[in-house]
Amino acid sequence: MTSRVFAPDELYDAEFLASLRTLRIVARRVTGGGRFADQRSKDLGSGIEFRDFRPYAPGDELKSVDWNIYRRLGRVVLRLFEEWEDLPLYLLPDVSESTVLEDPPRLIAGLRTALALASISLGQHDPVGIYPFADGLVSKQRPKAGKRRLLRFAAELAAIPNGGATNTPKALRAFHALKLRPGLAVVISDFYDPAGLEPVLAELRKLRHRLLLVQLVRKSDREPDLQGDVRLLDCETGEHADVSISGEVLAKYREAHDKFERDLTKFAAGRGVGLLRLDVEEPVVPQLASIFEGRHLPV
Amino acid sequence: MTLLHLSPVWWLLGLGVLAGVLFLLQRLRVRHREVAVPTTLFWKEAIQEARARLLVKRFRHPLAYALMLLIGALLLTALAGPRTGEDGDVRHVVLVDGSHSMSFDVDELTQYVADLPASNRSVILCGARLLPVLGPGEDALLLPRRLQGVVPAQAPENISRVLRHLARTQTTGSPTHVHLVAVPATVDTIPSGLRVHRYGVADDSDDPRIVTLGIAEPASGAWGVVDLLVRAGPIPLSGGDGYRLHVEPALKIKSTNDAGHELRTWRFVDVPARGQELAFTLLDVRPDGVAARLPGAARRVQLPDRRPLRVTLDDTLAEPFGAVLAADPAVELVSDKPQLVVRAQGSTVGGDVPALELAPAGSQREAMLLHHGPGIDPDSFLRAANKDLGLAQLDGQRLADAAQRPIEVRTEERARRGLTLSGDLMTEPYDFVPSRDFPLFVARTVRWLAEVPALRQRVAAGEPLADAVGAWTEDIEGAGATSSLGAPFTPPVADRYKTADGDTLVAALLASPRASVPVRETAAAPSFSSGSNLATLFLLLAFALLGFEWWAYRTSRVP
Repeated sequence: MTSRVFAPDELYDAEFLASLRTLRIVARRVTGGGRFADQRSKDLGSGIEFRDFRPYAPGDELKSVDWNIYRRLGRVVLRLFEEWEDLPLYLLPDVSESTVLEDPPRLIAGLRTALALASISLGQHDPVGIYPFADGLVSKQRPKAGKRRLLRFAAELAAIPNGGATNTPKALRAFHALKLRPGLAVVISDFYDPAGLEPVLAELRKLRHRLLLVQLVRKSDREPDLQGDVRLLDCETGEHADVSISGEVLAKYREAHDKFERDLTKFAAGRGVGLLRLDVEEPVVPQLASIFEGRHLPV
Repeated sequence: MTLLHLSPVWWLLGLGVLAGVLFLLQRLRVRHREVAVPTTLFWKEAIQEARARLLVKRFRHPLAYALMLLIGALLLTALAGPRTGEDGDVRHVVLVDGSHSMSFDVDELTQYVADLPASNRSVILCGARLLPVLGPGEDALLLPRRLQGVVPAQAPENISRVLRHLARTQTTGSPTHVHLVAVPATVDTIPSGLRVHRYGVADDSDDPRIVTLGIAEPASGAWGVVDLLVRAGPIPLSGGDGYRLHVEPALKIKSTNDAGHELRTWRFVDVPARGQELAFTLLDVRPDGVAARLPGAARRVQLPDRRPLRVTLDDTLAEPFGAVLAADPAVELVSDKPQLVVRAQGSTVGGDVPALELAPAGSQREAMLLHHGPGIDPDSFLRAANKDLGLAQLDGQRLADAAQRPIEVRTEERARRGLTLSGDLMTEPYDFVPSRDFPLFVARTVRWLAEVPALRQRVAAGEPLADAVGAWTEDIEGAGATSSLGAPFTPPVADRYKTADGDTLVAALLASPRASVPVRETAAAPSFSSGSNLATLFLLLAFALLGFEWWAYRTSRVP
């Protein structure tokens, strides 16, 4: 198990931080005020959108009384409006060994994605919580709001210890057990769990939150540049597989990988879950901007 | 298809070694390279699928091995010199008569040999001993170089011996064709079963021809002239008066004419030698006076240049060199444009020419200091000078005894050849000048400075050396040919000989290689197929397969 230490300016250079401002501008232009999703509260309150009437009860605010109805019907009733709640953002970045193995490490793109999404939420005064995971949840942090917290979040993300095996179902169970207020849970991972994809999807189905899956990918995932006789070592489990690379083996590999991708896409489409495949070798922010295309999360 | 450089057995052995080496390399090649990957999820699935075809997987390595072995076999075959289209196992042996009477055009012979199938041909020179000059598979272009400088020797029995051997060793499936480059009379009988093709001079051996051309130092001892000997035959004893020797350019020299046993000899004495070429032709003058030039009866010879040497003498050295130089017939004393000069050391008389210089007494430790030009090996130069200057004949012991000191000779590199004599030798107790060695030394030094080449006498082997006098010789090869004092010396075989005085070479050579009679075949030339060289094709095939192997490896079709 290896761990890699990232300096904050290695993860978030000036160019990236500048691009976050652009991302926030793009987000605000979207109707809905730039929120990731409609978050209609169950409560009726003093929003701006009319929802319903109810009889006046002592103690209610007089400004909510509908005086037109009183004039016409002689009854004192209150106008009730939509109560908008904030949308907590729960970031679950995968910090396992597989995300730090290659060059550039997927973890960098993952943490940048986390910070970019956090910057948007913080800009909307929504609280943001970080729940990195590898073999279970690495740390738990109560969601916090405030525009000025962005740099602190950046430092906290950079300081997250990385490495170790992956056990995504275990981590999701632990996250579910936190019983957090419903919000938007963003799982940022390659989804390469030794147990396979199905246990991961099973735990995702149990979550009460809206979901956004950010899959960290690279071109060599489907087209590995390997030749000859190789011993493949799994960087997390240490298992090895001896392979004589041939055209046939590569074709079978691509079949297995494509099935994995299809299963993940099918899950996202079936559950209305957002799925973004983020190329870790390309700039992160332009790819995240696609989230705000239309009013629905991309699948 | 035949292989030029390898027998089939050696080719198979080579292939076996190649197969073994490649097998070992293939085993070493199957070594897994460790690669860390984020996950082996997909690879395991892929391997499980592929495991079902285990036979194919295991077979891929032998396929790669077979491909490499095929490439190696093609390269090995290309190196072995594959040829096709040749006449199967027919063996071609070219026998060249190496006797002195044989003359042929080397270039035409080379072309003839080149047209024979290379893998099965060989060329043997039949002289005093059998000399293979070209082996199977060797390029015919090697022939002129290998025949260069070959001395002739008359040994017809060698040809017959080879023919008998070839007749014995040829097999039914491997017939032998003998190509005889010889005068027909050289071979009496041809063994049965042997196919013989004649290539050579006209089959009219009954006609007389010039068999000897000799040049000798003049018996008169004069400088600038040589004696010539011409011998022709066989000339019938009766009716032979019509044979005349024609010389071009004409020699205004009286000749003697000996009509001997089937050979007629002409001697020319004191022929001026200016480096000119003489052509001798034997003519058959009919009774009506018309002269016909006999085929095969023309020879040329290059005379040496024996013009007097132009020498300038420093006036200060008139005594003691003046009288010696004036008495030397090879020297012409001149005052300008000399070829060489005799002067005191440091003098500029005569200019920049080879010089015999006299150093002041006491100024030079060595008795003689020999100068050679740049790039000359000093040891070889000293050895040659020792012989050419006749230093061995000088009574150096007497000089050393008289002077009570060793007589040293040393070499030194300078711009040109020269000799510096110590002035001490001219004084007592050396007394070199009055000794009988002094004139001989000066004469030889003058000739050495002018680099006059030694005269080589040319005679025919098996014939007595005309006008041979004095005690003779040992031959360099140690054959021990000697003759009693006063008797003519007859060299038994063509070779180089050294006379008693050590500086005259008697060599028997072929006549001028520029044969005056065009060589023609006595029969229609047989045509043989020399085949096609397939080495390039095999190389191209090997490289094409290498390219395929590289592509297959890059696309993971072979491991």
